Amino acid sequence: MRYIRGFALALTLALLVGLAGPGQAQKALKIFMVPKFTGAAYFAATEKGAKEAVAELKGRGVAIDFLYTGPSVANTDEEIRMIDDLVAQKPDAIIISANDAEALVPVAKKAKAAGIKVITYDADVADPTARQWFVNQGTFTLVGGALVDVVAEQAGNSARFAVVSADPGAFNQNSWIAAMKARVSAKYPKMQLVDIRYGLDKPAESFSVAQDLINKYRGQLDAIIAPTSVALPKVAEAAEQAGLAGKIVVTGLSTPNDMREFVKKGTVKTVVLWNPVDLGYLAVYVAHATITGALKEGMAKQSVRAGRLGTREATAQLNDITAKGPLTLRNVILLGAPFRFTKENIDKFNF
Amino acid sequence: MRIRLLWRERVLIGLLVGSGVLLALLSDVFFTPANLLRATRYAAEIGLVALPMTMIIISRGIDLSVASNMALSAMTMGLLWQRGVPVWPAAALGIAAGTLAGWLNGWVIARVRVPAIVVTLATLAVYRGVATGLSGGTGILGFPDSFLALGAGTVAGVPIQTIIWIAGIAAGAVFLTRTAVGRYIYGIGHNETALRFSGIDVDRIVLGLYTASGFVSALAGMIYAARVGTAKSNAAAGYELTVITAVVLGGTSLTGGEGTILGTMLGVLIITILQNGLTLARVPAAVQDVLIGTVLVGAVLTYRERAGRKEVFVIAPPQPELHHVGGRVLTDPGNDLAVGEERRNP
Repeated sequence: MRYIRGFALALTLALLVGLAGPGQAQKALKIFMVPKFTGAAYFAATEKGAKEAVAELKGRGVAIDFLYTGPSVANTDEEIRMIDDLVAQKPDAIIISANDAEALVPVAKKAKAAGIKVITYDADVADPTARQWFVNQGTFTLVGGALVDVVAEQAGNSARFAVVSADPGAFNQNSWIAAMKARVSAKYPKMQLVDIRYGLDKPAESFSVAQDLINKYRGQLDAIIAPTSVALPKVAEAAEQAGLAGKIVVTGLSTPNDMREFVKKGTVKTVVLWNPVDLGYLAVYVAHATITGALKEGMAKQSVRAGRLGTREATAQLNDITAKGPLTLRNVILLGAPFRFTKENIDKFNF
Repeated sequence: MRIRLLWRERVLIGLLVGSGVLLALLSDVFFTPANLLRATRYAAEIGLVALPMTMIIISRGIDLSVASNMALSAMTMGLLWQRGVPVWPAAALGIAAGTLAGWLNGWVIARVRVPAIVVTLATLAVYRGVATGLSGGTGILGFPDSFLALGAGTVAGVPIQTIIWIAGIAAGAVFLTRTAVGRYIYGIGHNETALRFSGIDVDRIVLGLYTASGFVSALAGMIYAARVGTAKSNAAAGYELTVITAVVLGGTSLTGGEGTILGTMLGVLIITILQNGLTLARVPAAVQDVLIGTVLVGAVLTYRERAGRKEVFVIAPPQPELHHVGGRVLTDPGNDLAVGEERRNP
């Protein structure tokens, strides 16, 4: 018994020292945020935005007990277990980015049935009835369209452009390409998508297909769009090596950290993505509005006031373009126009 | 029947009670029946797979393919159901597929004589790969409620999978301690050659162990699919390590010959309540991982310290004369314990 007591005592002390964390405030609104995983700069940026919104709401006299926690690595099972555990604490709202759209449906439904407002952000669950709102960082239509707009601004309305994508079967990339085509035919009839190559989301492959494109269309290609964060830096590198830096427009989807050097050198003038800080910020405002009843699930024509972002519309139905045809999103709140990272603003971001 | 506990099991019970009290102090929700029962839903999947794993590790083997097998059998069930087979026959066929996968492990280990770690490391990749290939990358949804009840239903407030787990613990404990084959499993881990010379069909026991592991993994795969409402190829990713962690924490020695079902059950419960309680106490996941790892190393160190003392005690008295009994060499004819089992206090 001596050993057991000693062991338990040691454990008690170790835990108490380690856990002298924040106490649980009474009667405050409990808002929990569960990202796909915590160890990533991207999700840390959403946390930063969320905490900013919490601080603003507190400044307006709203008591909030906010907790940001999630699996340490992207693990669906750990995320399900953590959400289920957190539901026992009866939060007022829980904000989730789903590692697996389908597997998280039962636990989201369970939380919703327990009277908790369930908001998804960044990655939705498969069943829209399992949550109240999805805070969408950018539909395929918006993001694909923004990439074409960048090409039009930088290379003219009759530009000839090519795409370096990931895998030929990649759903996201194919959906963005479908949205690009739709934007071209709707707004820039003289613009031409001349070729699509696939770098399989491998750096070396992406680099060599970019070189192929540059050599094949030498002088006849105005822009290359890479809608994948693996290919975009490699396309920029290939353009630099071919001596075309600044002469050919290179743009695409990637993160500031991956693209910083190319943006500063001017090889890439604009990188398109969304702002994860704003995404986390909006998600907290949506959660708060859902708790207070300012946002009601399923009602058309509603809007949410989101601090410095202004007003965002909540839509019961939103049409999007995907590789598998049109898709209707239900109960979504759009973050807004995709964000453009440029030489001027890229140093404000670290993800 | 008097319940006699090993030193390891006493340490584990102390650890379980100690961390339980502590977690109850840290979170007002932790020590409520609803929370504890809900937590056992997660314990049951790990705990079921840990039962045959305990026996396999006692026999100085390992089965790394258990989680992949869960995904494979769930996928098989899902695909059959999607193609029109009623859900329960589909589940039976899924379990049959998992049992076959386990038998295949056992066959290569026992008959072809490839080390278990190599075979199951290979099938860890193969079974997961087949599951991914079958699924085409998407999960199967929409199972009937009667099947989902296996993962989400309760009987008198107790989750269904918890009841299955308790039944499994009882069956496993009786098998391991009260049957001849159960005792031979300790023997295989302790001295396989001696057992072979005693005329015991070691290969058949080994084959049976891995087949049982396949069967139980497949059953856990069904429970998993019912709990998350999806049959998916990335199901239970990484579960094999949680299972092995629980078994080792429960006092089963990776060098074979030692371990109990009770210890494994306590190991599973400790990991479960730590994960559950620490999440409720708002401890970040990374810190939880560190704490659970520390508890594992700390607990295993206390087992070692004790084993050393026992050795001193055993060596000290004068060595008895050797007795030859049916080809077996016994140092102590009055010893009715299985080889490798720790001597209990009278």
